[in-house]
Amino acid sequence: MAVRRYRKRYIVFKSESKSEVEKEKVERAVLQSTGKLLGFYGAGRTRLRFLPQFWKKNQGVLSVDHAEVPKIKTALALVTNVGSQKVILYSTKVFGTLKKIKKMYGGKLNGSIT
Amino acid sequence: MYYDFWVEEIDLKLMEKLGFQASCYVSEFRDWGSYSDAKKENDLAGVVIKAGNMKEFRTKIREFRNADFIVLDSRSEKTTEMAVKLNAVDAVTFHARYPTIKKMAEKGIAQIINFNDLLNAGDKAVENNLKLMQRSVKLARKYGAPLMVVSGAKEKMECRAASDLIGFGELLGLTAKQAKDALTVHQEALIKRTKLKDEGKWVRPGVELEDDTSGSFSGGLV
Repeated sequence: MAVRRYRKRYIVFKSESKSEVEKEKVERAVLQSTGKLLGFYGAGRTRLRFLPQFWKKNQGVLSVDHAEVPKIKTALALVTNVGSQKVILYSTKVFGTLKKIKKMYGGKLNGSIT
Repeated sequence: MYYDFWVEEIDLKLMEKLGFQASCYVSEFRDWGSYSDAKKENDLAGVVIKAGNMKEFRTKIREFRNADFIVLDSRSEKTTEMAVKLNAVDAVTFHARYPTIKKMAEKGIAQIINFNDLLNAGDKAVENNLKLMQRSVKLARKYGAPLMVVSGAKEKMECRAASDLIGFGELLGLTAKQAKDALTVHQEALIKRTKLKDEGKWVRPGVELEDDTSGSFSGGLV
């Protein structure tokens, strides 16, 4: 049976804090916040993925289902702490393809940008 | 251009980073003197009036009726209803129901959706607050009452980006355009009113003085 491919959106987000935060901790905080806001079922529907290869200078990329972007933005806004550090996580732009993000970062198409 | 109309600690650089054009310093002041000091430092200053009953509300509103932006933060439905009836406030935090929200639409009083109610609430309170917010959004859309989505930040690190507050509005049931309007339309009207007040042209709601360009009196009975 044919399964339709879902449409992805890529949310570029930044973190504002006194010092740099670790990407593993940010990933955990975002996933926890999404789970808290939407529950297991809702969080699963968002198809949320943290793309670690795009983490650079307190800036990262999330991959989500196209219809769930507002929910993930709210979940990002609900993050107050990463580890023991106070942070503001905020989305800056939403892209439809990774190609455009790579262009924005100035990296090569097939290579890692970090 | 987006505006955050409830921030208790303003960092202009951070607000600019988060995508806001302007923000309004809002606090619960004790007297008019402390309000005036805050007004000198900020372009816009607002007052939160916390009142449990009508008597308390009347005494507080008498002092702050000339403030730029007046918010009623009351848990009493009756007090909110009376404040709306008297047209004494610009916005209310109480999640009003049918007759009140219709009056709010008629008088242009905004329903505030405070993101901080979600951020600093316990697990059970989050669910309840989300429910009330969704109901308010539904009723405001139905009766055409103005909505204001605010961050309600008590400190710098509680400020949230404009795009995230728009996303929050969409999560509550607004369309993308309505969510953007919740961060601009009513706020711009309040900024315009403040400018007119500062120039001495504002009299009361609906009555403004205009410059006489012709140089002769054209009104009166003939």
